[in-house]
Amino acid sequence: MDAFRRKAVRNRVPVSGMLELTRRCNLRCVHCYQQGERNVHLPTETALRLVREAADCGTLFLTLTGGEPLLHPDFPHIYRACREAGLVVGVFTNGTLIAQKHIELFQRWPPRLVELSIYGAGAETHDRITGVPGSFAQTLAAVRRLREAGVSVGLKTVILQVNLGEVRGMQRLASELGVPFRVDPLLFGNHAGGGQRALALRAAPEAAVRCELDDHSRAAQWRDYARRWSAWSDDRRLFRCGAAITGFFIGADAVLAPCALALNHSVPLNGVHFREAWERLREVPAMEAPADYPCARCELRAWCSSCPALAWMEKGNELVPVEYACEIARWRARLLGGESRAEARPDLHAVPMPG
Amino acid sequence: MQRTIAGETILVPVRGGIADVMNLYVLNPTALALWELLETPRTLEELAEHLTRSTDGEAGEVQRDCREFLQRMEELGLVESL
Repeated sequence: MDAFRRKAVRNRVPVSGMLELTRRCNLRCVHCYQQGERNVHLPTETALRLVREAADCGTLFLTLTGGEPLLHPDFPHIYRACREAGLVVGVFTNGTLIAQKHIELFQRWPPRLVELSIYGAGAETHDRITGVPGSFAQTLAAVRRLREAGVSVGLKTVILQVNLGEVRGMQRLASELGVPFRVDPLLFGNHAGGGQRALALRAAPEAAVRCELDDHSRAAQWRDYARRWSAWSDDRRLFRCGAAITGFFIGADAVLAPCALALNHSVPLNGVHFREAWERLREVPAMEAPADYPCARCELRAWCSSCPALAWMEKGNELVPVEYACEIARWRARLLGGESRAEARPDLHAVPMPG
Repeated sequence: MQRTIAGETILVPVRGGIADVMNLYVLNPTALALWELLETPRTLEELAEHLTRSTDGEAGEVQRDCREFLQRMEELGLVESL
């Protein structure tokens, strides 16, 4: 597959994407980055057209997401169309709406992974975060049913102050259930609406990183990434990931974006062929960082999971650092042994002028 | 399902067990030629003969390669012996 991936990058093939079927959700998670109008469904005909067109353009991997994607009234139809188009499909869901018909659908047309979010090792914390009593029990029941049905299922969480002490418990729970588990330490906010509320819910960076690195494979991935970083450090591009090169995001309001966060670069898909919209995103990965872009010179960058898209989502400006991400990176560097050079040097942070 | 993306031929399992869908298979040009021939049932000898004609390979070696390829395909459940 490596040769395939290299060719996909060279030829800018949209191999991997996310399809947001709806912005509606039946949970009310305190940290959710979704802001603005939530009652938005991608019309079924549009979804089916875009699935066909994306597959024709070379899409191989597609993740169905939301909101809660199972709230889309035609989820089964769209899911099946994805598999029939030869797409390898993942599903991000909270699991509370998984019914027998979904299990049968997944058995017949297997997904690569159905990934469910949990926010605590027990009902008290999880339900407090989701705002819906009983949601923990529903999510866990869904994991068990999917697992028993032979469907590929996994769990993921994001670290918050209130669940920090339960991450190991969640890990144990996943082990008992026999499913993979992953942790994201970087909770991000949204500059729009009430999206700044999430920022107050963040755990202390050191504690969040220590939790993340409890997963030894994750620690090994970071060491490997940091080792390879030096080869790319002269890269002047603003976006250094696969966004708009091999990756894309389709929003429920029928727009195409480089990723789920970089919505400032969205182009419309209504009445527009996927290929044409994809072509219009061509300029995004070619954008160069301005000379005074502070992250370009940062020695912690090899340990950093922030990016211009995350900065735009949280700050409304893709050219400013996300301080919490800086602290996360600093702790990764410190705990994984790469911090000495960065820490020893004089540090002068660029702070954007107010207004 | 056979898909061609970025000039590579990829077999994408669409239906079947969980183990099947966890793997994708990229075919090189020779494997693709055999895969396309296998749209209709063929004997090992037919496949080897075709490949010997279209490549510079030595007949015995080509037949050995074909046998190994078929065994691998059968293990993966992508073809079956009749």
